[in-house]
Amino acid sequence: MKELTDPRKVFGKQVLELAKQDSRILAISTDSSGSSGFAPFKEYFPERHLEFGLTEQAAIGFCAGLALSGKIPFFCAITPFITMRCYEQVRDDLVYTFANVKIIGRNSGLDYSYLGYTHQSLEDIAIIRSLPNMVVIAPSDPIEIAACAKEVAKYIGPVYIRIGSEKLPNYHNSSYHFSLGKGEILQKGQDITLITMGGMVWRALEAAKELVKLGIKVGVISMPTIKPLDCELLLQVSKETDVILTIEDHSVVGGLGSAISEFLSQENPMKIIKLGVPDIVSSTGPYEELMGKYHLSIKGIVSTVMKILKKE
Amino acid sequence: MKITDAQIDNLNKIALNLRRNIIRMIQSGQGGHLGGSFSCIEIITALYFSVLQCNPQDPQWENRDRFILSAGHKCLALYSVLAEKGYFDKNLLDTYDSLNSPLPGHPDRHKLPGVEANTGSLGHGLAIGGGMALAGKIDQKNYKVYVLMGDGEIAEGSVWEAAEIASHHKLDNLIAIIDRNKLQIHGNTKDVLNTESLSAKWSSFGWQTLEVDGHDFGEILGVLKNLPVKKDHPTCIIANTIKGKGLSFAENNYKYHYWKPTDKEMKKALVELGMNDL
Repeated sequence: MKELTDPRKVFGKQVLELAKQDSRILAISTDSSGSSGFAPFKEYFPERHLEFGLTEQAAIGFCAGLALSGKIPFFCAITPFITMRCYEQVRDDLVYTFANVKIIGRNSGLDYSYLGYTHQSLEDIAIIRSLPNMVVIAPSDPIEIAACAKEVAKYIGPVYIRIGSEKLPNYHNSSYHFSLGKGEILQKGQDITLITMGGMVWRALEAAKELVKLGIKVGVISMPTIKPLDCELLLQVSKETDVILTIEDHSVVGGLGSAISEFLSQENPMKIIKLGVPDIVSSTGPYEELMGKYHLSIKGIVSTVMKILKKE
Repeated sequence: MKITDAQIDNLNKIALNLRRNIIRMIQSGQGGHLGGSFSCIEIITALYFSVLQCNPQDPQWENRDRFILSAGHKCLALYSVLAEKGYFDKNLLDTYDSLNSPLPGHPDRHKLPGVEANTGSLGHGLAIGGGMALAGKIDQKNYKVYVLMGDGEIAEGSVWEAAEIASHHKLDNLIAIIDRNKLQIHGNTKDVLNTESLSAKWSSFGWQTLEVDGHDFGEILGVLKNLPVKKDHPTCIIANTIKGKGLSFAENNYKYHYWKPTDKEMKKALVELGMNDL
């Protein structure tokens, strides 16, 4: 079994390393520095870690003001609270202003499996990617999370990064270079191609191993940047595979699958199936069981592919 | 510092010009948020002509004092004062509300020099200004940040989140000014949603709170020239004002929150502000 790492800790550690080299970088918390991965930052730079308490709306405004004064705030909080509660502040204070603020939604998707709909986040990509000039990223493994933090710090403008809390294995090697707006072909396959993001990528890769054993020619694409989409790659893939299956721990309404469908329906219409949480109020329970309920387990992905290809 | 009568006379003349600029824009755009723009004119005049350290030739000068118009619909007052200060050519005032104008119905910092924040949706400015004030503290700069809000606006919960953060972080370089004209778009603020008692509320949030006549330069400057009131505490200035101040038919009348003038009203406005002879 590969080593597993908490995405929040990787991200927080990388932001600290970046902050050591760039005095403009600040870490912002709303009563969750520890669980947002900022504990080492807070210890190393107590004066550059700003605690705003439970005030997500004003916290976004403060971040905008800090950014307009030359700072680079990295603000991390539970996903619905940093995307939905303060959506208008993100829209007006960050996007409209084009403020150089990085917001990080943590424990995304169904990670808070026991805590219910208030804490689960299945609509964040849908609403954030609808904002013009916003960059939306869901990095997939610890190496990509750290690499993405470095690129995001260099990029000037508002960025939304979606990370989970479920520990992740690495599938990249340490020389991996992350490019904003670029997807990655992990394997090619003509029968069907799985396109996915974030913590779903390793599951797709595991599912693909099973599918190959079953004789399926399956491709796997990681699409860490959901906005802007890697349109060139999508167009290429669409010409090399019969069916696309998008996989996301997000609602099937408005997420990665929708983004890809929006593009390909105009540029190269083809069969695209979206696997994600259906358009319902999500349930609760143990994480893997809940993921299984929505066919987001490795087994669920395999059986979804077999159904699509009518092999079952 | 004593404010002289001559200084006050001069400021009154500038305030009249600012009101005239607003009428000029309303003539071009055929409508605009008159009531709140007129109620805050003395406050804005005092800030830009006696208080703010700013440079129209270098709008992004890093040590400048910042002014955030949180009540963005009062942008006519902001455009008027920025033009009067020389941030841009006054002829631009005539483009107000035209297609792609740098002077839209709410201010946009990308379009016009001197605009610090993109406001319009109420309840955003205090947090943005707070962030600027906090950056000033981190960088040990001496600038101050002034945020103008309406008394209807402070019903927004985000205002109070920002007030808590500012107080907790001891932002004595942050000054909230409430243009308390006691009216909002649909009537008396106390009837729509009573936001009183303002003074007690802001004080209880840890702010130093003062009340002034928002049309009296002596009172306004008496406070603005002596900030912070108390070290480590943000200041809230409650400025009692008259909505539509300066136009007899619009004063204290919520129906002139947004004014789409008839020919007859416009003629009257031009007479009252002495614009026919200009």
